[in-house]
Amino acid sequence: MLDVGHRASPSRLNGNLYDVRKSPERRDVDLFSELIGDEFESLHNIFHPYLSPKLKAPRMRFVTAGADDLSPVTSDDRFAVSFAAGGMANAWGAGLYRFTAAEFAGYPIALSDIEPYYDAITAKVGISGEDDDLAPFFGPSRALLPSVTVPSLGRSLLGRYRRRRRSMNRQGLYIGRPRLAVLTRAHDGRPAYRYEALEFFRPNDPAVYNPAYTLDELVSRGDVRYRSGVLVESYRETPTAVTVSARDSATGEPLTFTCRRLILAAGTINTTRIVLQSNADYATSLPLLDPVLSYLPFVDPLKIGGALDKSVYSAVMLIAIWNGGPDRVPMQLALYIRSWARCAPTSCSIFRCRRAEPSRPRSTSRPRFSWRSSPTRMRRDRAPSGSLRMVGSRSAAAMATRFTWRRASSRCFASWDISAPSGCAAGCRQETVFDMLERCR
Amino acid sequence: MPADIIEPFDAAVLREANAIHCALLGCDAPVDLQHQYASALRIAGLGDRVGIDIGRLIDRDVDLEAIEIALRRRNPRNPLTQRFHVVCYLAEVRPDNYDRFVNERRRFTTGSLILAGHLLRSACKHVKGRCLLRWHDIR
Repeated sequence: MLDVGHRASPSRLNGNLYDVRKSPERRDVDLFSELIGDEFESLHNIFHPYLSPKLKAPRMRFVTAGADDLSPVTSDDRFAVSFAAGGMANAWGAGLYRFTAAEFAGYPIALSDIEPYYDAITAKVGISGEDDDLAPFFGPSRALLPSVTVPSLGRSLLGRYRRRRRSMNRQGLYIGRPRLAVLTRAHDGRPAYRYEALEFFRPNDPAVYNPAYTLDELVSRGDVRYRSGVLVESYRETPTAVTVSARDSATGEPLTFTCRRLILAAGTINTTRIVLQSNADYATSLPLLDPVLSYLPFVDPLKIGGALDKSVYSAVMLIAIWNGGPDRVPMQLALYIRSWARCAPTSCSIFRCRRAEPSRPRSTSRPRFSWRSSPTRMRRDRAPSGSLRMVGSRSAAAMATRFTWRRASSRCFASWDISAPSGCAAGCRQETVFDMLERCR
Repeated sequence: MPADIIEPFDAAVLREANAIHCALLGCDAPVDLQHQYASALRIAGLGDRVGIDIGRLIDRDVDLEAIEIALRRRNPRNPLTQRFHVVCYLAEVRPDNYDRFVNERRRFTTGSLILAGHLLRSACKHVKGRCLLRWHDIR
């Protein structure tokens, strides 16, 4: 296995985030280094284009480290590309969901063909969840671990949903627990999750699955020969073998490897880049499908002034599925807790709305990327083998509403960030979400 | 902060950090926070790219908080708001500010009153800030 394989630097954060913040000297932690960073990494979004909060903390920067040099992408859209061992799953929310039978419609394989493998992954990774109203969308609950504990705000929302379940289901809304690759009890040699709320600052929590764990296991068992620090650029097939051209990611020294079969798993953008480069294809324009995300704030007035839930899983706490739209395509909403305010710490939450994408591109307004390689661009992007460039329609892009209100002196922070980056279609989706939220009230 | 970052800083930048800290948290900024602030601006390359003469505003004892709110409504990424964010981030990780940012007790009535009070205060500050922008000819 050839991989660039960046790894995290060790973190001294240990224990619950809020306990550490309150008295760091007890745990011998330098809060500035861990939370802000010696290079002020956490301040990134103040001065630079937006980077996900899960990627900007100092100990999490290894996830996207070197991407601009190793895999330059020219685009109006923002992409996070990872060269870390384990890839973007070093900073994921750990949601693992099965495709449904309906989603397999039109494919040469059916859900029944793939279910044994889903079961095997569930048994290996350890997925927590519940047999609730979302089972028809997420698949059977066999072999699931108990759910991750939901904070009080989520419990109260879930309670209200259960009281009005029939009416909400009639309108196509279903709410339940997420399926998370988070261990709620020890499993496969890894410990149970400790609710330390450190997901945004400390990498490699052993209770939150990361493919690097399986990789390390395979390497230690001798099943895989792993070489890090290698950037694969292209391959060439001959009747007897495949020759892989690569370079040392640190020195740039050219490297060549030969194998009988080649499996490319370099992520969406880089796998495509390697294939196009290997076929000297600089003209093909391919669709890039990405979920349209919208963030909607919720405030529960009864929770104003409530004490902060300190022992929480920082990522998603509840999932809602709404399939009551005109085309019946399910929309997934993930509920997060956001507790910025001292006086209203647990009253704010955010729904991240994600619309399931169709299996095939159905609109020409989707962002597309194409392969470009020219001496000029190669120099500009410092890409010896060309670069990806986003083209296509984002002209109607910016129906974005942004309202941010943050005042420290008031001791009350609130943030409201709603964007619909794909123009009219996304605008319609916004309306349907608001409509749905109105009905939920 | 590593020792190699601590180096002589422009006194005006340190004074700026202190003024913003006072506006946000109502007290003087610790010296190391002032140094961190100056380093952050230097690393971000914003030291001399202000666009607003913050030093002049501090000299005139202008309400920076009000101006910041008014500027933020105009442009959320204006230099003054960026500086307020920097101080806010740096202050938030300090243990002595923990109680300012995290509530550990249930205080529904107090919390609601504080929230309502600060909503009103913010509205007033916004109006004041707009007047100050005109008065001091800040664009």
